[in-house]
Amino acid sequence: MTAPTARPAWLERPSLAGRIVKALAVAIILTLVVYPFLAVLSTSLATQGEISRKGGLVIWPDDPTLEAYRTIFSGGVVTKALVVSIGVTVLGTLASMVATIMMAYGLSRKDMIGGRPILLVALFTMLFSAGIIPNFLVVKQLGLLNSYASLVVPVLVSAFNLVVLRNFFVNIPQELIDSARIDGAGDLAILVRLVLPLSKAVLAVIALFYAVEYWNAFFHALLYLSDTSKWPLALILRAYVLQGQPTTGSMNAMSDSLPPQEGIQMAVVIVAVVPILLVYPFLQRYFTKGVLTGAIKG
Amino acid sequence: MSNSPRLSRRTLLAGAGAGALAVTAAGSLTACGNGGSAQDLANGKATLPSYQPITRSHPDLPSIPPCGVTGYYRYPKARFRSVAKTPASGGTISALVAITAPPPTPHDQNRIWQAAEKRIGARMNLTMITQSDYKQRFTTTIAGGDLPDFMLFQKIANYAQLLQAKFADLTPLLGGDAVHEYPNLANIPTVCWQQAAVGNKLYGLPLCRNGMQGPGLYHKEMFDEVGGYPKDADEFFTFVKELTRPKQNRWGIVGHQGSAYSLKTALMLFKVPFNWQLSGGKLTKDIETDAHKEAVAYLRKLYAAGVFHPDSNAPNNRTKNIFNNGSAAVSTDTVTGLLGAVKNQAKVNPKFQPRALKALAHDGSRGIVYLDFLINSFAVLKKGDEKRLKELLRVADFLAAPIGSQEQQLLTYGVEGETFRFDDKGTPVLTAGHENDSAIPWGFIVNGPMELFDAANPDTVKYRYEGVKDLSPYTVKDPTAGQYSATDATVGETLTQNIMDTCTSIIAGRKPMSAYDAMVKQWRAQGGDKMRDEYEKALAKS
Repeated sequence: MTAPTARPAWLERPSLAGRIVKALAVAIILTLVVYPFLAVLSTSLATQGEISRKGGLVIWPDDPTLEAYRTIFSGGVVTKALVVSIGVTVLGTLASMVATIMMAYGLSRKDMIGGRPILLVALFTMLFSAGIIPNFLVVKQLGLLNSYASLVVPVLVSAFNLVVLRNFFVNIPQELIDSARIDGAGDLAILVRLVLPLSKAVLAVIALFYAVEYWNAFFHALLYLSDTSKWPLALILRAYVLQGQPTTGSMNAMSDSLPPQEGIQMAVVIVAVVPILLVYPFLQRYFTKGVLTGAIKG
Repeated sequence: MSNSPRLSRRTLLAGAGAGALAVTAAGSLTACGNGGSAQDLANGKATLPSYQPITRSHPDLPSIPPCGVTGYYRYPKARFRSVAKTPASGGTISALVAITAPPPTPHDQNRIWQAAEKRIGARMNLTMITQSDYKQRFTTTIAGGDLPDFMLFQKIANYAQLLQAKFADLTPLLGGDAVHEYPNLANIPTVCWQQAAVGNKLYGLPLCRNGMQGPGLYHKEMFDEVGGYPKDADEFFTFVKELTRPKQNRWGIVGHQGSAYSLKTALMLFKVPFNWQLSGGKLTKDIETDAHKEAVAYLRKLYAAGVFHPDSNAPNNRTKNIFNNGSAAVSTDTVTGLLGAVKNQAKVNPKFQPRALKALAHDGSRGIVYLDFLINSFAVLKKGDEKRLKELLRVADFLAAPIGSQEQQLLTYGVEGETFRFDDKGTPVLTAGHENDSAIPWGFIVNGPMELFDAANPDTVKYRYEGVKDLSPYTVKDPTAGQYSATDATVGETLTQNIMDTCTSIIAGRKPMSAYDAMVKQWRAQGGDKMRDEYEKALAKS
């Protein structure tokens, strides 16, 4: 008879009580996560009468209707904003990725002249921002006002993403790069054919960071765009959600507030959340791996 | 020291950059060498446009002074032409305006917008910003230097200086009988124009409102249940206490966000002077009166009695719903807020009778109502030659067209047969696909007297009108209205916020009543005494 092997505790079959506790914990967490989404979705499907009767939020609509969605899509404003947001997010993320990759690669090379001061300048923007008015003046001087470029150029490179990517590139073994160089590869070939394929995880994460940032950004649109037909979805969403809210600092707090239309507000929230929600599952598997790799190695 | 009202980018940044978002009204433009000039600019009294009401609209409910609010159960049949000629002579007219609702259909697809432009005679280039974010855009636009032709004005630090430096003085073009050249602008009551004047100059086109926000709203059917309308503060206390039944999900009062648990309602109840009290040329701030302190103590007592809905101070949508669904008997919403309450009542409970609170005094005497909502704001015009300014005023005159005019119909509904049709009762109804075309915020460039009209919900017209009518005989003015204090313009908002915060804490029992006197002392030391002095001087010269 062989002596029983010592098995780690986590390999033991869990007890019934343990399983119940785990299931309960998962159920509670799931409820906390799902409840707000359910409330938003249900409210978007409820009639205004039911919403008012139930105090503003509906958990399960008695008489579901798509009226709110019909309303927001009928004017063409939300549809146009959706197209703008998708365009700005896709093109902005691409532009940001190209700029960040090139800058990070350059800064990751030890022989780069002036690399350190440039990195410090980039890091400086993480600590101190220029402020609204100086930013506005720069955008104006560049002639970007009322253009889609004003939503992308001022935030083209995020210092945080740059640092994460640079750290990742720094940790790619120098021997690999040297061997490629011996084989005759230039910097561009090394970057495209060697460094980038090795960095898929971190690139996916950074692309997601940029995409989410572009998708949710409304403030630059608010400051730089004059034409409402160029508004992204986040700003339209803000207009719907802030409908009837007072001006900041106004003592006439309720002055011009209109009757609340939570159904429509929640429908716009759903329209704004769903596209980015759909992207998450495809990139999530890279998430932990990408961030940890960039942060810990070295 | 120069009295020149120069306003450089640096001075604007100094004024705008002091707050957390670099756009709050704190800070001081005077730091850059124009010290004292802003206050000097505010001396004197402007010749305001004389009022010449338009009587061709034939309202169902006649005009209520002072803001000329009228009511219409049916859309007026007579469609008169209020502007004889095409106001503009081509080109583009730009405007920076606020919106309180989602934006309209974009210009290229918006037939109402395009039709209005055709009649106006110029491309109307509107930049729309959500009202909550407007201050940021306003400040950056000023800093950027390229000003639009019309701009909804936002009071920031030393705004008198800003007005003088950047915007047109409209007094020679509109003052006295000169306004009669623009009949729809002459239809705006003088009291509204006064809000757009600083010192001896008129700068803006008012966005008229109904005059008062009022003490709040109440459920008549609930008050009837406990004894009718209260006669004094004690009875009000008893009624709301009796109506508080948490087990039935009902409370006496819901206070909206930032209202310090209905402070304004209590101030009117205790007949606290509106903002300032003027006596023999001397001003006393409302918080310095015993009545104000009594009002805070009264609310503290109400709070301790548990009559406030637990979600008081939640975002407005929530507090509105609490009142609309009958979870609170009284709300601090405005007379305008009756629109939503009355519209929703049938959907929630047809027995509900939401109404505007009437003037009520703590001791059963004649109550008071603050005249605190004459205008929403005013729009200013970029400086230009007289020809251009007159053209812009003609456009503004077009935009201020009253209900019943062809111009108002065009601006609101567009072209008959294309963007709207008349139903069997003669009410214009937007046709399918054009519902959102109508949301163009013309009313943020100029807005004439309020015309209450809702053919589908005539009760909203009836009760809002009755609310304004019942309250208007009791209105009291702020004695400093139309006067300018540089200190108030710079730190007033912060000091007011401090007062509201301290009162909120006292009412909720987080601070003792003794904190009240310290609050008054702090207000005086941080600029209160200085603004009193400036207002007294301004009043003496006006």
